[in-house]
Amino acid sequence: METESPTISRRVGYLCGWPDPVAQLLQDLYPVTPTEFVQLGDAKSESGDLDEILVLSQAYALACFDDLEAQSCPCRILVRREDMFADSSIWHTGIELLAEVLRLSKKEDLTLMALTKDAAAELAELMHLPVAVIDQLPVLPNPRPLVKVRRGADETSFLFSEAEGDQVVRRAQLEIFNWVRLRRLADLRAADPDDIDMHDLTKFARGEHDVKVSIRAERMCILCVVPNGVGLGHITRMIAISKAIQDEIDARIVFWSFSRAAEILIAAGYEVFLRQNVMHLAAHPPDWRLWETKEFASVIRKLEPSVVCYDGGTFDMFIIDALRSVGCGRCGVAWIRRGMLHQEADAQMLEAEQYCDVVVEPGDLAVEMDMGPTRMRKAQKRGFSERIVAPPVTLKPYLSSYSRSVARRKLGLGFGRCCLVSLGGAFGNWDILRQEIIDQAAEQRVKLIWAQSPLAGSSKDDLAGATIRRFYPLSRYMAAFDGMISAAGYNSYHELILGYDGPVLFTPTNNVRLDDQSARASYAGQQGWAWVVHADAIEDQAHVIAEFMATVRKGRYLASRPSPVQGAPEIAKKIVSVADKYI
Amino acid sequence: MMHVPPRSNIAPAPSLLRRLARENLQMGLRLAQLEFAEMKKELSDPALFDLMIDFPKTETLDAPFLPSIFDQYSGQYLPKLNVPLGRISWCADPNSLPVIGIHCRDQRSSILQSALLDLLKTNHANPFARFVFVCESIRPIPFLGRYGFAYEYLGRQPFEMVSDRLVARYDIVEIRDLIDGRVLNSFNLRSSD
Repeated sequence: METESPTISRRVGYLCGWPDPVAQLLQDLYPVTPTEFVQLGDAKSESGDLDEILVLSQAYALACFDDLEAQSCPCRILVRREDMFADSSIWHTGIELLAEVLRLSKKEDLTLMALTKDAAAELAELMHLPVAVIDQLPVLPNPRPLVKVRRGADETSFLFSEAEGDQVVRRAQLEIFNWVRLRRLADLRAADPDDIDMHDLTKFARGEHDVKVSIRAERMCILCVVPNGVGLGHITRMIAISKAIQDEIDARIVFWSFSRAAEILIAAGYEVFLRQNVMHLAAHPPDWRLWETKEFASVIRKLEPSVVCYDGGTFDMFIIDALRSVGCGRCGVAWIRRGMLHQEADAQMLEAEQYCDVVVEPGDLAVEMDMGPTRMRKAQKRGFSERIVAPPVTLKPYLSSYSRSVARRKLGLGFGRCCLVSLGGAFGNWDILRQEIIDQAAEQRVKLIWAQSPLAGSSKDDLAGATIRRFYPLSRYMAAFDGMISAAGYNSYHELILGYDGPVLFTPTNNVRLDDQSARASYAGQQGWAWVVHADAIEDQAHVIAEFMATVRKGRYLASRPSPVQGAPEIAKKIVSVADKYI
Repeated sequence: MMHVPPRSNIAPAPSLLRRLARENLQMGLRLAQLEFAEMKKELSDPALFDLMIDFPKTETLDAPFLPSIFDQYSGQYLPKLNVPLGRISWCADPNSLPVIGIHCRDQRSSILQSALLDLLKTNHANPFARFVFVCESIRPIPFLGRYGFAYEYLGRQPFEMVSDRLVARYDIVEIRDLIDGRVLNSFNLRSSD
């Protein structure tokens, strides 16, 4: 078992309303002593092993003052100045009441503090009691856009310098951010001159001390979230990117996997938290999300990842909710989002860009055909995110491939021409296509090997007598085959076009839930890289299958395909650069 | 102006509802029978749990421990999650069935498959519980997932360390060993009692 983050040496309980940026900022307050922050529901229970209790507003202190007095550990009360919604007379009454009960209190280690020097001076004068300034946060050196924060605003606009140097107006919902993260992304200022508490908060968030002390585990950790996709695309892509990250730096990579194919991740050498999604459990979505949020947050606190990488179509909010939790702010977000969605796909999914530090699109060789929202539309709210398009990502460069003889021996294929058939299977009625393939293969004396997903069950009756192989990953075994028939999902397509030189026939699965495989396959056909058969007109395309099988029979190689390119290293560098922001 | 049909025209007739309920009963049972037959066939395949995953020699790491969330105030009042009955069984009110944790040790596939068949055969014939399979090995997970079961992958983490979580998350009443059926842990905490 790998060493976890530094051993906790201090436990601090805190009482506050939610969401309170000060509670989030506590994570940056103790840069030297590894501290665990424990949210308290009330101050009634015995503090036990807490070293200290922080009460983050006078309202909370007054509400449970008797219980605070009974605690054996020191208690510090953060007194806050007026915010824009406060009733001035009520605020003054609260301050006077707190001063009065403190004067009567016998608890000696009950002290007051404020967020800034100005606040401490004003409050000390009003309360006639000493008010200390809370420890100040370290200053962050990197240049950041100036963002004016207005309490309760639905969204905020600000000027953002893009990588190309252009200044653009960006929009974001600031409430989705943990302030530990937000202060690394933006130079925060209060928008409303009457919101004195916000002035104090933003000044506190900007930091004062020029200290740079890391208390993270020495080895960087990256937490990868993979959904339960239709196939193995998300997992395959994330393994390639993880391998590239580990080529770049010595990183611990841990997966939060909803995919039942998690055994593949374990076999690839990664630690896995295996989860079930809301549909697996047929659970009430808010209940399920609450569990995911709490447990994902607990893992972030324990592992202290520098980046959460998500490979998938749409963010589930549990990731963002967890990152807002106290102790989870020192972590960036990278979204690995492939393009080639259907033209009619919902562009609303783009709005999740505002949660991210970087949105990385693994490039698609057929990008010219991409009419989907990731290419044709822009998110309304992009927050602080950067968007890059990398070259295509494939797993093959990270695995040694078998020679033809070894691959054939391992798969028990014997001699003669062999063609692998991998139709994807999840969607579409391929009965006619399957029969046509069988007939043409028989004609050309080509042996068909039917690939079965590791996620699928045992052989089905309708394939009885056929040669079925279940293996992963395909890229190690490519040399065994004289031809390939495949669906045109991102990974299969790019593994074959960039890593295989035998004849390929694409049989795209056209389901609106998936990427636009038809467009991708058609592009390969136009470029002369592969043959293509579309599901809606198989009867008219028998000659294509015949031509393909004849080429397999002849054992021809196709020299016209593009040279191998590899996007995973570029993506890995970008992820590591995000991680550097959160040290 | 939008035409709104009178209420009598949009309310389903009682006879229709009765027919749908009858069909649901018949189809639910029939589907469960078909799924069970398919599952039985799968369990007879000695290679069922062998996925033929082939990476160059790599160190395999254990499942990391999930930190407890119950020492945080916000982790104390979490709702119970649904536990599906699984597609091989059917009953009119699956929520009335207790939830039992089934501890699957890391055993040879043939032993696991045989024990799974025994257990699931019984639950198919006469559903008596909903199961959460608590697995030391990840090998049975794709199979369990295909048939709609709840599962937890523990790796080498002793199940005693996570039993509080299983109770809080699924409301399980006991944990039994898959192979010999022994009760390993029992909890008398059902919220519905």
